[in-house]
Amino acid sequence: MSGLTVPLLILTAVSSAAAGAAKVKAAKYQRNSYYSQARQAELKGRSDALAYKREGIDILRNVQKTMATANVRAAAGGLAPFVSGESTSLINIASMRGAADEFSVQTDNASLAQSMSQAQADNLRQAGDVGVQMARKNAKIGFVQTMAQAGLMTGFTGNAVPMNSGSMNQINLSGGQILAGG
Amino acid sequence: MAERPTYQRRGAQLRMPTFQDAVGQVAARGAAQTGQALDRMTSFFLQQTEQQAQIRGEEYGALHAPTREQLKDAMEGKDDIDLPGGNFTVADRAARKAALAITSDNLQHLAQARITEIVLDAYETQKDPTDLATEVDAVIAGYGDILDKNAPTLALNFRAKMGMYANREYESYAKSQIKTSTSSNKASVTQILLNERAGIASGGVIQ
Repeated sequence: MSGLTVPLLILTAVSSAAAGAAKVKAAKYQRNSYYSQARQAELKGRSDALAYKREGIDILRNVQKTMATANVRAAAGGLAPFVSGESTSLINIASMRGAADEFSVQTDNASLAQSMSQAQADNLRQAGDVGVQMARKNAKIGFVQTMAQAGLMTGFTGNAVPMNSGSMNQINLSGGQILAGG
Repeated sequence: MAERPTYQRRGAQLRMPTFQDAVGQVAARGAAQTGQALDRMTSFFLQQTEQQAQIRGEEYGALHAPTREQLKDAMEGKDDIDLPGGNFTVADRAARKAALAITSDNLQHLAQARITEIVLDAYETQKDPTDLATEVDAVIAGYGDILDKNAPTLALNFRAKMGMYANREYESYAKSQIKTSTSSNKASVTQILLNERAGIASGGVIQ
């Protein structure tokens, strides 16, 4: 292997390693970005869950108002509002059934928003980690590939005598004299 | 009777939040990059393997090409020559190509040597140029036949090259013969005239 080949191989190795490190660094920045998105997703989930809960509370407040109005009107009309089995009681039970359905839906929505946002956040964090792992793996493959190519391009397995070796720089003269050059 | 209100539904529905699979996207992108890198590496190694196979094939073909003796025997016995290699693999093709190149060179050398022998013999024996051409053509046809079966293209090329060579030799010989013939004619005419002059001088009569 000639004197110039080894430094060139070292330069190739350093350059390839630097390229790999840059790719891993880029993947780490990308991971940070994914972590931020994950945090955002969590916050959005909590915010959405709160909104659904607020709507649920509004539903309860609304049904409370409705039942109160029904009771008041029944009392004003001379009907017993709190007697079980009376028409007012039946109307109020119907109101409560509707409200309970909608309240249940909003509770489920809140729960879904929170759990899904948590899943999304976990997924985003995992994506960041996977990206870094992939970048490391690709950097290793790239390094091996570059070095293998460089080795196969510059390697020599034959038995040739290098042109600048000492044996090529001397001329045998008649009478056993040797003219040394270089 | 007083009107008693009932609860008015708001139409609340179950809402499923959207979910974006970022892991899948990142993993797919990374795997695709890995695949491309491995593809490049594979194609590089394949290229290297192909080059190695070609070199190995060329070396094999050069080492196992028919020798001049074998070619001579083939021409004399009208047998087929046994060429290494084939057409299926890179090494096979390279071996065949190298063997054909060497065979072609050897055939040219043999044919040229034989033609030179024939031409020299013609100079010595003052052979008729037409006979020389026939003999030279026979040599070219004989050696060309060896390549006909295994390498028709090379056979044509060989015949064309040797045809040009033979034509040069023939032309040279024919010119030499014309020159010799002219000198010989001049000498015989001069001799006739000198004889006539001697006859006149001695009192003879030209008839």
